[in-house]
Amino acid sequence: MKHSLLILLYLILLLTIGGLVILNPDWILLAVPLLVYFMASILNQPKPMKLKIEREITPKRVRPNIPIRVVVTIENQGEQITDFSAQELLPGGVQVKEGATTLLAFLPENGKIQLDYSFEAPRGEYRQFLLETEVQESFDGFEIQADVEERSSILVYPETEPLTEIKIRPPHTRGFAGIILARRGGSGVNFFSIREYQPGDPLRQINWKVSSRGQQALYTNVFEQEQVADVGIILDARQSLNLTKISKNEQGNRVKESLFEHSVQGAAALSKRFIEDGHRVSLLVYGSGKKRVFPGYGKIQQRRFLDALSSVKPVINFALTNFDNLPVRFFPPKSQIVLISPLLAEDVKFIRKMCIRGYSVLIISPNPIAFKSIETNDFESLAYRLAMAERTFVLRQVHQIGAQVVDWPVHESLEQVLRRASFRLQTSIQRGRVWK
Amino acid sequence: MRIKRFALAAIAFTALPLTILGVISEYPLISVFALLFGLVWGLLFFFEKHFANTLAFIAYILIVMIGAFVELNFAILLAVVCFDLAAWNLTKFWNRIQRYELIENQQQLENHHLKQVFGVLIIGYILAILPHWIEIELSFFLIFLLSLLTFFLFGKGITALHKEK
Repeated sequence: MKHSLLILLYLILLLTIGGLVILNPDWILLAVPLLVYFMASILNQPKPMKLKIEREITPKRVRPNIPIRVVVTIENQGEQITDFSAQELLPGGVQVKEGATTLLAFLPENGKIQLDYSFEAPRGEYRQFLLETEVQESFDGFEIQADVEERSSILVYPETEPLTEIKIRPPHTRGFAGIILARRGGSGVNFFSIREYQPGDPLRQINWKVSSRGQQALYTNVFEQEQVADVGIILDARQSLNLTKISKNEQGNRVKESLFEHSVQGAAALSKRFIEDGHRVSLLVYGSGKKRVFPGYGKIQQRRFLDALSSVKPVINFALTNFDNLPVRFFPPKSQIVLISPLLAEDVKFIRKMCIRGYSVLIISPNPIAFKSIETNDFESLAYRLAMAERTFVLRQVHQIGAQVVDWPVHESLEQVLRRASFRLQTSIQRGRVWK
Repeated sequence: MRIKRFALAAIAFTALPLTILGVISEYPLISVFALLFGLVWGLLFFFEKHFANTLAFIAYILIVMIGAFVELNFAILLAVVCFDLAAWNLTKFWNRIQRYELIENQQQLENHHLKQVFGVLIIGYILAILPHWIEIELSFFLIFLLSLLTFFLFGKGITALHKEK
């Protein structure tokens, strides 16, 4: 029973009792229309609905800023419903772009109605869709509500920036042909060494100059094999390192921007590049538990990556506030590790441990100071310079222990930053710093 | 839009008869309040402000009670109560319609609603006006029994409703 009917009841009692008290029959008679209205409301109470509800969501996996279409079909399998309403309660962050999410209808027996709308959402996993249905009678006295919950997962992938080739040189490669120089003789493009001719060697590989200097032996050029590698991506999802700021988007609306979001986009872009290059790639999200994607190749692996990255969030986990519990053995020995982290001073010792264990470590470090300073346009103050000096010191320390570091001011694209850093990386690789 | 017109008409039919009745019967205060409430309710409703619907409905019932106390024309007062109920119902229904983005079978929905509301109010009007024409003599004891029975049934009804809730 709704409040409006109670108000009516009080008025009826007021008129009736008042009429009896002051001996005025007109007051009692004036209560009659109210009483008839009240009785009509009681007699007209809505009956429980028999509805069949189907929800169709397309597509279920989507890139950001691409609308997702939802069609909710409601079929009345019971008696005629004269005043039916439905309201779709969407998960937080979702923005309806087109169509209606609320509906009021006269629903005849076996009648069908549809809610058809499309929405856009930022990166994330959206599970809960709730349809609130309500049947009401004309006198606004009674209603029956029923909620229909649907748990179908929609994944909105992170934005993935296309990247060109990334120079990595892990100490150990896998047996399949790829693009990484394997420091092993075989078929390839780059010259590796010379050895004595063996029957079966192609004649065009004979090094005639060296052979002419020898007594009777022939010598053959050996090229360096190019193979694929194991690449492990570690995404740092520790909440303590995540910064947020309010910025304006292209439409001029104020939106919350997070440094972690850039890290996720970076991880997505890097994984795409590595998988396209044929490497065996794995992922570990460190901070909010230890979400992981086991090593694998190809498009399915790329999809697994995007599925995992679409739902990661920075969460406070007191067991994972530093890299103490980093399960490094999750990655194959002597493989390439790409750590995406803003980095703290105390993380240096764990990176050192990884280098000592024989991993080749590349650190892509989204710059938290630049991220915050853009907001206030503060690049001159003493505080900014001190913070930058401290960060530079940490990055240098990491570089000195043999890891490659790419400082990424997130207002620049990762592609730009990597291209700028590639010269430095290549020089270090040639010097052999990565695997020593 | 049809419901909005009906609701505005119902507000007008609630306010105007009372105003005229007050003027004719030399109770200017009833006229002033009836007109004032009517204007305020009508304007607020026209500009989609719905907080005053229930307050205005109760205010008119109170004015009608005063009207009945000073023995104004009963048939008109009864009509005012019916139109007041109609206005209250339709303003709430319009508010409900406004809350939804999509309305399916709108014609049927509105027709059904209007038929039910006006049907019930006409029945209520007839049932209330009949005792003015038909006179039956009842003993005090019978009236007392009837009142007790009414209250008993009323109490039972309310308990049943609470249980159902």
